[in-house]
Amino acid sequence: MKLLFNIALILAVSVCLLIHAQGAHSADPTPEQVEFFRTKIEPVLKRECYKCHSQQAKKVQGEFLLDNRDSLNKGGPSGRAIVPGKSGESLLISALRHIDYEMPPEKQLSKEIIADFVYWVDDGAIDPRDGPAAEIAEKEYDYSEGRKFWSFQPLAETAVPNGGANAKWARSDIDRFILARMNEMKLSPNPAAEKRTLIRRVYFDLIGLPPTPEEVDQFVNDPSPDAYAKLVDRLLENEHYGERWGRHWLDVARFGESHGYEADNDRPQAFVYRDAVIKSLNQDLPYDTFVKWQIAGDEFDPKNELARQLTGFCGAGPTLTNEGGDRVKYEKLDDVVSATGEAFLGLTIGCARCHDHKFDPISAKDYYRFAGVFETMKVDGNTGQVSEGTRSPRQSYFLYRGNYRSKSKIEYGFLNVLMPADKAPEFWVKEPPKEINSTYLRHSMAEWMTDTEAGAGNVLARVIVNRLWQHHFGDGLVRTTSDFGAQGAPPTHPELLDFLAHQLIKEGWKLKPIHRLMMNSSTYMQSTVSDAKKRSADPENKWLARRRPMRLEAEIVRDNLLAVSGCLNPQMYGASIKPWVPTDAISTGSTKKWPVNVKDGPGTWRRSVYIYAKRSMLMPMLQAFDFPDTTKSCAVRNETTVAPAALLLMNNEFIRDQAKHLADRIIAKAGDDSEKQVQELYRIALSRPASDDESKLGTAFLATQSQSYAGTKDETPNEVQPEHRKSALVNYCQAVMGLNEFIYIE
Amino acid sequence: MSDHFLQNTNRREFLSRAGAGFGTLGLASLLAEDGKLAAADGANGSLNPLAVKSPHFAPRAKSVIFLFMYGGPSHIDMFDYKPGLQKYEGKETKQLGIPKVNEGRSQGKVMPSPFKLTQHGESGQWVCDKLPHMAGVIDQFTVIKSVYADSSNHGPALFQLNTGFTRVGFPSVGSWVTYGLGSANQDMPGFVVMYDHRGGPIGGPQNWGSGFLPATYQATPMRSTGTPILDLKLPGDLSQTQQREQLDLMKQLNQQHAKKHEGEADLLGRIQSFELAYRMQSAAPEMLDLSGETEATKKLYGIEPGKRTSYFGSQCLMARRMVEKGVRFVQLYSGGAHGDNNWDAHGNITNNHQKHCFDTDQPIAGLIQDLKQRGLLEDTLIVWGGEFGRTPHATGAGRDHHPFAMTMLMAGGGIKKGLSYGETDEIGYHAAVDRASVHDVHATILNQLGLDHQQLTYRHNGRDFRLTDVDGNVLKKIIA
Repeated sequence: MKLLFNIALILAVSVCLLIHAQGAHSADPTPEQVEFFRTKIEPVLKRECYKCHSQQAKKVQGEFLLDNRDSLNKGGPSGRAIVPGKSGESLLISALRHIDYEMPPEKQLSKEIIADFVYWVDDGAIDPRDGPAAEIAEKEYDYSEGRKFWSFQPLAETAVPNGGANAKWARSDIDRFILARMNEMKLSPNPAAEKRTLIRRVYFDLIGLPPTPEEVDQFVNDPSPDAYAKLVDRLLENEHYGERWGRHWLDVARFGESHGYEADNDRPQAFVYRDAVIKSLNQDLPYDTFVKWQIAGDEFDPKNELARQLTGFCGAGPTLTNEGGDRVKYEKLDDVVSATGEAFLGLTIGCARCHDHKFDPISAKDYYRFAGVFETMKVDGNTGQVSEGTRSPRQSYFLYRGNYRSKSKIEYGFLNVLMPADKAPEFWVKEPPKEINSTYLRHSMAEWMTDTEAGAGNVLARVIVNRLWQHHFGDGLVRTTSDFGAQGAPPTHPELLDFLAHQLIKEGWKLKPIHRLMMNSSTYMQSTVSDAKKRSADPENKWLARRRPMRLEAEIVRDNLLAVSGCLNPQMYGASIKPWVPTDAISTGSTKKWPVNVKDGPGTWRRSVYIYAKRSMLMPMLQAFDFPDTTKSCAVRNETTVAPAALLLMNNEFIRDQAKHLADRIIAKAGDDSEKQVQELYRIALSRPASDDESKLGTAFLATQSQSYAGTKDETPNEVQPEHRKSALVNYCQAVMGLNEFIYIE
Repeated sequence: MSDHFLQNTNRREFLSRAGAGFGTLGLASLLAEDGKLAAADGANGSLNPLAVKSPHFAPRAKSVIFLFMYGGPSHIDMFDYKPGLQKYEGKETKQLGIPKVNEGRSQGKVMPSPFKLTQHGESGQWVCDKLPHMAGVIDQFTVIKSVYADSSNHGPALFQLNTGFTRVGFPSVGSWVTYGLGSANQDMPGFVVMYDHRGGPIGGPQNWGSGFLPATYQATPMRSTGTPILDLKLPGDLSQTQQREQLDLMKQLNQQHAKKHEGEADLLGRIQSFELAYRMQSAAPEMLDLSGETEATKKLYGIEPGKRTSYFGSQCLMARRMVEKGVRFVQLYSGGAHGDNNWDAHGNITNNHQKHCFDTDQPIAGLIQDLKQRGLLEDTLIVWGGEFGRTPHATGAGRDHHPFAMTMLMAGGGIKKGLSYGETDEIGYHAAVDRASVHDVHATILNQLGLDHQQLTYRHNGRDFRLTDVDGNVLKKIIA
């Protein structure tokens, strides 16, 4: 049992007094006491402790020195090291005893030596060594070890592997890298999926919508060898691409359209950032520019509307608005520092807010230097866009242990671990042009971040190609797509990751060529077939010897419904929509958050990326399918399979309504012939014909259900009224819209 | 105990214990007869994964209600009375010679509690003056004052309290329990989570996820505002029979699809979610409808128009109704979203805790009294706690995150009444006497449910995993 030591005494005496007392002592120590120190204590200090705790130390540890009397008395961050006369209360002694600290760390000193120290402290800790308590120079954080971690290394140049088993399967360099690992693991790849599966996969992946039956037929019947490549190219030029992939980015950008917290006021113009993201992707804005503009578009190209709009990234997070002062200021800075670190660099810089990062080479000072870059940034509360309005940087501060009452001055900076030891932030800092009323610090940070020679450009490239991989293949090569640090997962295919990052840079940071590269690989085109052996050899599918069905995201579940029902309004951009939600989803008194009694129609039948992201009232349908909570950058979405999501597909008015529209669409095409209806439904909803068995099940269902509607009206099977047949078809459409095959894409 | 619960559980438990093969067959047919297992099997014809399973030994509790105070309630301002806080007021913690003081998230000066802690009940347990209702029922509780955890960040700390691990990807306690025991009510989820009306905790569904266990063991979330579960009512133009036919068709097609994708747990989980959803339609509306409760009962929980206690009070009352009907594990969150919307009292401990104490005090006391008067407390294990305690020193007028010491409360379900277990040091910095790890707490919860934490395993990636990893001791001294 470790109750507190009896400490009343020490506490009663101030440090100042003690030093005085010590001074009085030292003026009058006995020669024996001095001799004891010189022979028994000082040699041990020199031998065992100075290496880390003296002014001669290469690197002072623990911000604590013991090479003269005053330093020893001053102690370190944990307090005073010795209490003269009280060995039981002296940290130095308990450290030697390895009670709290363990000093020296590797070995415990002998009992005899410890006994000498105890005697010495109890005898008044006589220390004849004069000299002022040294101010410890800024603690040198050792980045040299940290820089060795794989993700901070320059991109490796690895020759593309060749040959080996199944070499013929490979159609691209990606495949050769994948195959090399597969062969090591003694796995063989799957053949390509059939064309119907492929077109569905490519459509959902690139634009988040199903192919029409006509598009499927055309592709399936196109015998040309480049039919697939043409399909990929065509969809990359489709404007829905920006909506689909823009939404992926909005997750990591923690995009929301209200301030969050209790009041959660709206930001009615926040959609401008969402639109800018979609536009940037559609025009294949080079990713380095995309990054620069999100951090500092106002400084890079103030006359360019898109550049300014993209700065909405900085102000996309939740904010406390009703309070002033440091607490709010540092919360805001933390939001932008954390989001910037995770989204662009895959680093959890935010973890270094209160202390040096426990796992990664990011010191707490790095955190505050990084935050200092955003010090003068002003956020527009409506759009989230930023500006500065001053050319002189403001003093930034280091908050000891994250406490805003414990401030000391610090210079702004970037991450030391991501720059060579001989470079300083000044290397990237430029004087702002005369016409710009801004410090240019964010500009400088963005230049550093995109610099592949001396800055963080390689990490930036790795992180984004990994995100592309994540969405194309289900998991990143680094599975923790926003954590490339020591706590994150190591890459399954490090050489491939670097190869892809190289490709991106070679392509001038354009993303579309990388999509093309990934999608035109045999790895991507594989079927989902698997057997027990394959699964047990690789349950998580790390080695990609098969493809796994992927669940559609919340928005795409809804978009898919609207597309197959024929209701989807493809109108792009503009103010966000608030579609109908069940009245009882809106809590009493909060109708301001979401309007009641909305009538759905073309105005709300738009793609879900345009649904208002109200932080305290996310749309229930999106929530049921794991829409992120928008408070923090979200790298990987949850995939729950809970009953409320099933209930929604069974009973929700919107779903019923969409099933009715789908039924109308089918009747228009197939008339009232049940078999034709079944086939048409399968073609529209699942991009394939129904099998005989499925057709039988479907027609039987339609017959039973029409009869059950007719039953109450005494109709015989032959004379079931059209409206009853329609009701049956609606129920059938709804059932198909709930199938796993409808929302898990092979 | 309500008749309904008694009938269902006893009948099922009897059958499930009546020999493996016969028992499970008997159970299946019984449920089928009830129309409840009509389609409750998995894709491979395996039995319903939520069917009642025998515990390892005779249980003391049938259900758990875990009251999670998100944000980190301050042990030393609520239950763990520390005169040392006055004694050392204004002293730097780092000068007190406290072991590992440097590993804390922050340092600062010792701050006495702004609240008055006094002794209550026959047991003389210490309770703060902001919890007058809980003080009135404190004799029902064991107050565990010596719990400690590992992380001083909300995310990992939440995961640890919920899953035993600070990392993501592990099954939550509720998932382990439903995996181990199944669900006594086939018409409701075995594991339900209701979060605060102000939002969910950091990490969201990962706090009640099933990790590597089959997806069907994840918690079913209930909405905290408006109706707890939406879309429970059939559309007007669809009869129950018609919907059942729809679901039968879907199940058949989904099973054919799943056969082509064996090993994809989510596909099976989703098939089961439709079956559960169907059954919930009949049971849930009644269960979640509080209008049948008497005014006196509602008042007991603090549910009164315009009164802030109505939020958590409704959650607590809902929890009682659920365990009454055999829901196995209910987790309620008090506190959500950011800052002072939860117990994270950095800024001002007085304002923050006064608010959250008020919001939860009467609801929790009401829950205890109500369960007791209905004879349900004996079979229901109540667990109260947060992801960590708070620092004895001040950060401003608040206190910082502090995993070295925290208080958890347990009541009912075979737990001793009126016991104070474990101690912290003089100022509540470290758990000191009878230290209890999170694994110990988890082992104890499982134990009360008749589950041996060392036997409850699941094979994943070639290794048998446990809720308690390779650790954990049942806190035997707190068991009645």
